[in-house]
Amino acid sequence: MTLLDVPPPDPNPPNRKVLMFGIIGITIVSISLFVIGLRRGTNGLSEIPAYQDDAGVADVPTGTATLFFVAEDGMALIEHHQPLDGENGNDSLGHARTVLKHQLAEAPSPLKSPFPEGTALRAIYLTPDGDAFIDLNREITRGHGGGSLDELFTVYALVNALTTNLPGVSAVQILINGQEVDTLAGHIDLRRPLEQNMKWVSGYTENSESESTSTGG
Amino acid sequence: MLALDELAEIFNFKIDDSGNGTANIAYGSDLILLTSDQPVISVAGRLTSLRIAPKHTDDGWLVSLEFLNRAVAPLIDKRIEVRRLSRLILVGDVVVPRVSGQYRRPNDGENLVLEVIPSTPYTVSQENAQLVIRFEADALDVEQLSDLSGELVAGISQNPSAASLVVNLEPAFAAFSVSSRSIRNEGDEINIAMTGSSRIATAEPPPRALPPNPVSSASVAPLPDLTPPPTVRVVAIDAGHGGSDTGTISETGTLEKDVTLSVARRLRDAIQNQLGLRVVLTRTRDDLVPSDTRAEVANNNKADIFISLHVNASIRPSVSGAEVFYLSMDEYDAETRALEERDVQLVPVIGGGMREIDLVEWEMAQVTYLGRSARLADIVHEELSRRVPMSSRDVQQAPLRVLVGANMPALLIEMGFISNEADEERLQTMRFQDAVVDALVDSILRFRSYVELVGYPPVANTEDDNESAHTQVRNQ
Repeated sequence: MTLLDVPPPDPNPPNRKVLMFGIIGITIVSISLFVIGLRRGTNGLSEIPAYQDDAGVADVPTGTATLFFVAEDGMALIEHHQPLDGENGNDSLGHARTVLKHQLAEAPSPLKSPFPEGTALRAIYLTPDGDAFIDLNREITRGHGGGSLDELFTVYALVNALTTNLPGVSAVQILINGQEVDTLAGHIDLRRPLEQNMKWVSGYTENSESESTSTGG
Repeated sequence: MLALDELAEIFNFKIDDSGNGTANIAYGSDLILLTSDQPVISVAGRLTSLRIAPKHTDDGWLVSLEFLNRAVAPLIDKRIEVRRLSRLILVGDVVVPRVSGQYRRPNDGENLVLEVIPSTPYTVSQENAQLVIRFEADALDVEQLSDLSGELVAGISQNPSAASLVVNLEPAFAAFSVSSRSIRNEGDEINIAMTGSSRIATAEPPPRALPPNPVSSASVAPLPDLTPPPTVRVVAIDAGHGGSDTGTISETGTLEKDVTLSVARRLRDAIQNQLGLRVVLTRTRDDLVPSDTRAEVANNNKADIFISLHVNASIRPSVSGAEVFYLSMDEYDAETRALEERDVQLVPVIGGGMREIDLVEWEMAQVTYLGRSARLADIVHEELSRRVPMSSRDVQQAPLRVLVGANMPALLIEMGFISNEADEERLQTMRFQDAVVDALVDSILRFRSYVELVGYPPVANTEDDNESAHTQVRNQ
């Protein structure tokens, strides 16, 4: 897929130079509009879906998805490895949707989901530069219990789930009903894409991210 | 939780309990439809979501406090204000100003200072051995007056039958004068200055010992540095949440926004009285204040410290204890982190020469102060640990929205978990709130000493100040 569908050259162009400058001009303007739209986000997401299929996220993993739920002691997220049973999509978008479907589902006992009941995925957008935009319904704010700790768990369960399972995703921004938001419940800054952070996950330290623990699954 | 039967009596509702876990509440031709344990209710045909679902019990229906604002107020078309701390529910346009007081003892007399929010006309008159302060109001919402007394005043009480305060005078009282000033267009500070018939010896506690003002060890500059010596002069206190943003809510209905405002007011009084520093509050009442506005209040008042007060919550009720946070930039994407590598511009200065100035985006001002914020957070964590139960976590870093625009060392304190029964009970007690206040007053003192000793180092990543950023202004 290309950014613009440029028409084939006219065998008898009236003025080839003018046409070339026109095409280049349109291309530059279009790319600029895309970049501005992407960074501003609140202008709506209408520009972004055109790039879903163009997200250069390769190496879609198979087999299991690593998900994050609240540990029994409530002090950290904990990894849970969820078998996908062949249901992961055959492209990065499909895989992202599958991962989020399981991440937003009920947590396996005795773990707890960091998401309010009724939280649902509306859409997901992947960009070629590794940003993922997750658009959720309003239940994630409406039903959120608040507090910095649980808000951190909610945000980083999503960020870590996508960045862990999709190697091409490096940062995640959460949208609510298609709009950028300041925070979910007044604490964590959601105005920009956030990168993976495993310090909220049990078993990880800042210098040792390989000591993960898992509940299996 | 409130009994729906009692609300029905007060607001003239008619309850039709179906007996199968649903109820219709009629007010004129309008209806509220409730289902037990369902947070979504219908109010005059509109669906409204509540944080705490109505509950049907053997004794009748129970609803949370938010039900008043979310369901009752739209139906009766009147303003309802819930003042949880003072246990007041105000319906309609009644005038009930909040009144709090301080007693100050300057050398030449004693001052009674009353903060009245919102502004309310008043008179002060002497009637025999009493001063009577009458307000043109329906009632008063009074706090912190019972323990105010001195050599000239025996005590202060509220006249329950009128919106007035009565100051009982001691025989040594001779005269008084009244002045007032506006507080940020929100209310008035009334200062009643009293003098005695003879000079009164005051028992002012000795001032806390402060380290001597150090000589700056900064590099010698060819130009005179007009920057005032580093210290702490102004403290910004941010009471988390407010207005329609209640923050987290306990099962019994305790609101985070009320706890944070109560502690913020106490902290303000303590800092002013004990340290003599100027204090600005990002909100003084139950208002919704955007995050950017909170930082703006601190920045525009040139605050030297920003303290955001919050109450935590967990889906696990066992989690408890206080936590201290400061800003982390690590989680932001590479483009945002690049803001730390900001522009440096040379500008001409009076007398010739150039000065190098770092330019930081206004909304990312905190990147300059991460090192000092870390130091402040360490101190606060240590002082809190001596006085209140802490969580097992050490000082935390997170991309906290309210801190990112603060142009000074800044931190966020979660004072406890409202979702934990013991913490929730503790958070509402004066004893606990005073312990937090004491910890923060001592922390500010220690941080002021640190800033005055270390100053603003001219280079980054010194041992004393491990900032990833650079100095704000430095001489060339």
